[in-house]
Amino acid sequence: MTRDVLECERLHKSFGGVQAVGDVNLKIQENQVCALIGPNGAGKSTLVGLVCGRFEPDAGRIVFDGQDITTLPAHARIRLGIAYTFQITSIFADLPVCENVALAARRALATTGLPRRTYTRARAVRHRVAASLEQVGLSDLGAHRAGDLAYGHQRLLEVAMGLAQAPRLFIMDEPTQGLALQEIENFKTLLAELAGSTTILLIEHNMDVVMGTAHRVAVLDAGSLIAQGTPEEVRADRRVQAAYLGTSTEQVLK
Amino acid sequence: MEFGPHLILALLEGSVTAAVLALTAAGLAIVFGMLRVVNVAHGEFFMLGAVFAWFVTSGLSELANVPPAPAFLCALIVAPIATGAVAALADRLVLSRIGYDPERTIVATIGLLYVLQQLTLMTYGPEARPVEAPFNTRIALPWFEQGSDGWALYWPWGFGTTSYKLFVIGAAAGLLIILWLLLRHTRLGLVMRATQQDRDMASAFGIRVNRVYAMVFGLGAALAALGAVLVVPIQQAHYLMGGDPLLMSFIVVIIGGLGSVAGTVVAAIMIGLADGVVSVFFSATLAKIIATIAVALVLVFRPHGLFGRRSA
Amino acid sequence: MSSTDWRPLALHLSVIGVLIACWFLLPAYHSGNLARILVLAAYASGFNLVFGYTGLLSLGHALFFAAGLYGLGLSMHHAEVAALPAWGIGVAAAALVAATTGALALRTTGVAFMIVTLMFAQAGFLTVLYFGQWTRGDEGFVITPAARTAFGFDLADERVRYFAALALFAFTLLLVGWIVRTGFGRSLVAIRENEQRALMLGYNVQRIKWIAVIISGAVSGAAGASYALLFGYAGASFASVQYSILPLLWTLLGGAGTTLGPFVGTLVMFYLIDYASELTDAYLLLVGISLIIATLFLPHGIVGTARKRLMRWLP
Repeated sequence: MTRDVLECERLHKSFGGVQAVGDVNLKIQENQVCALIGPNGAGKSTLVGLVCGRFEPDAGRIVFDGQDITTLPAHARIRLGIAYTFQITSIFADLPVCENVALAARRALATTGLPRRTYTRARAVRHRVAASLEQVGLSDLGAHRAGDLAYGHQRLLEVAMGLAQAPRLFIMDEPTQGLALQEIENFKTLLAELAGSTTILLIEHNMDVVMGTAHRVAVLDAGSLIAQGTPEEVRADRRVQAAYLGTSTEQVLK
Repeated sequence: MEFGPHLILALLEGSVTAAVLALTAAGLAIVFGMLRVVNVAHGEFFMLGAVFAWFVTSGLSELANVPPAPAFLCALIVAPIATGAVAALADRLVLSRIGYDPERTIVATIGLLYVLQQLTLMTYGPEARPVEAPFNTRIALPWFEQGSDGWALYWPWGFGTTSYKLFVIGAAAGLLIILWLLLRHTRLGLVMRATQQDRDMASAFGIRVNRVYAMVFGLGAALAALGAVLVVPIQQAHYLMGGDPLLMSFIVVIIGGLGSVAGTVVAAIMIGLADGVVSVFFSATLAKIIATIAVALVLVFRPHGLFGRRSA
Repeated sequence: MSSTDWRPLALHLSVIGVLIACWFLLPAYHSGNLARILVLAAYASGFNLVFGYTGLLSLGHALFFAAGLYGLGLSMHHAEVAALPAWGIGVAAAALVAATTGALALRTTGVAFMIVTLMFAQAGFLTVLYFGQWTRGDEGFVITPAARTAFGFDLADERVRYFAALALFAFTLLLVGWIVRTGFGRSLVAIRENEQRALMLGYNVQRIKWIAVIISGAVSGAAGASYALLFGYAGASFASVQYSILPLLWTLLGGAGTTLGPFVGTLVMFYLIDYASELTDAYLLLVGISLIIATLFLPHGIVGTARKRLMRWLP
């Protein structure tokens, strides 16, 4: 039986009187990839911001793993097992790549109970860092200064930091934005690898990535969810075509 | 004296403080509003204004035997311009080179504070020196008293002010109005506002942003100097006199809403009057303790100032 | 990189070794200066933990230094508490002041944080003046040499004083060196580098900053208490703005975010001022010029520049 990892109930959020998210209900099942799509300014980033605690909702409830987290501060939610990669690359540019990942790993391991002895603790962190870098293919770049990495590699580093957190729910905000075609292909492979074992909420503009990797798709327009379902269902939905896909309908349907 | 006359006296003293403070703090507010930097050396520009005023007046009276009033008028023009020039130079040499980075600017202006203060110590010396007021007639004030034959006017001993103090209040008000006209209705003001809103756009329109910044920094310092010239016949010029105006201006600018000139003037009047009243009736140190803690708490709980509007 | 690197510890221990040797090698005038420098460098190291490692520019650390100074001074002078417990009172007072003012000031960031800390320290300075009856204000008071003993040592004695100052500095250096290598210390650097990211990795940023301020305050307080104890004097000037600016200057000059930077900065600045004050009364001019030069040309400080150019492993 699958269970819901995340459940949003009637979420509302306005900024200065302008509604960014209105009455959103969203459920994500364990070990599924859920893609959140919608035109620019539809409220996607606001919605995930509400989920990971960057903003406080005006109304509604957020349940994570059966626990109401609506009023928890951001860091406490992360500790429960949410990872978030920023839309605009946000890394510790002046620190080495491996220290970036180690910061994620150390915090996550502290929640699950670190070994008491300093030595074993350092080893646990090291293992987790090596595994995460390996998974995204950055193993060779561990000693480099993170800010010196190529843009595509910085995005992968973000993913590696998320992986090092071993999250129950991994939220990725436009992870393929600005990547080259080959890098996007690699990323799809990575997502497919993760899909069986991690629950992923993916904000994505690239329909190719969405249709190729997501189990479910949710469509946000002007702050409201207008459709939810399998990629095929959403693709067939007339409202989605009208509201979101607009003139580029053919492009998506082909 | 009774409570009534005492209070009026305190309010009068407070008005003088408020007038000088409004000018000084307006300078700090303009710099903060335009350049988004906190100028910790602002108090030293105040001090420079006073010291320049002393040099001008004493120089004129010794060398050319100029009477106090014209000499003072001369100081009122020369001292702010000279101070403004020093500030503009500091802007070119230091602030523009660190790109007006807010934190590095604070450190650099702390350095500037010591440089100006110590250079003054080396040249002007450690003495406090008076500047003669252009006119200083004593004005005794009347008070009412209910005697056996009803209300009667009388002149309590020590209850009065001087014509010069009234002049300070009037002059400061006049200068603030001129400042307002300058910012609202001249090309200079327009250029300043354009630069503040969008630096790149302004420079695309041919405004020399660097020069505007230097001018703003100079103007801010000149306002502090103006306040100082006005107050120096009452207070004397001394190389350490910059500390208090700096602290008070900080308080006023923060309460007035960080960078808003109108808010700053309102706050200056409030704080000046309050300071006058409090320091007549309570210990000045206690008043300052309360004021500094109040400012800290305003910043903690109302980061946009008491009168400031929220802006993105 | 994350494996244990022995070089920082070896470097710290050899610095301490050299400083022990200094007592036997240097003439009395310089070892007297060095005792003062060591206590002040401990103060700067405490400041550096917040400024250099966490990226919080406090302009009010004199409050913590003075809390230590007066915590010890007042309890010895008026309540005749013995030196050691009085030292403890000083450190505790500083930690307590840091905890309360820190909790408030940390609600702000950036320039507002700088001004709030400055204001709190100013209020502290004025409070010292206000209670002049006990503190004797600017004039200050002397702590009688007779009371200045610990473990049977006479702290007014030059040699004991030097080694007590060195012990304080060594402890601070090793403490900071250790902290910055722990997970906690690394989270401080993470906050300095990118606060939002640190938060979204699950770090309780506010709490970590608060703890950093308390440790920093306690170290600064320990330096303040030691200063009063070793040099036998407490006065209001130690609570003034200048004593908030000085550790900033020393740290900037020596290298913010390096363990040895504060010491190097204090040493250089102390001798610069010592030299300048023979020439002119206006020796603070040098402080001003150094601040401006440090901001303009030495953004990483002496040790920081050395780390960038020569030795990446420098702590």
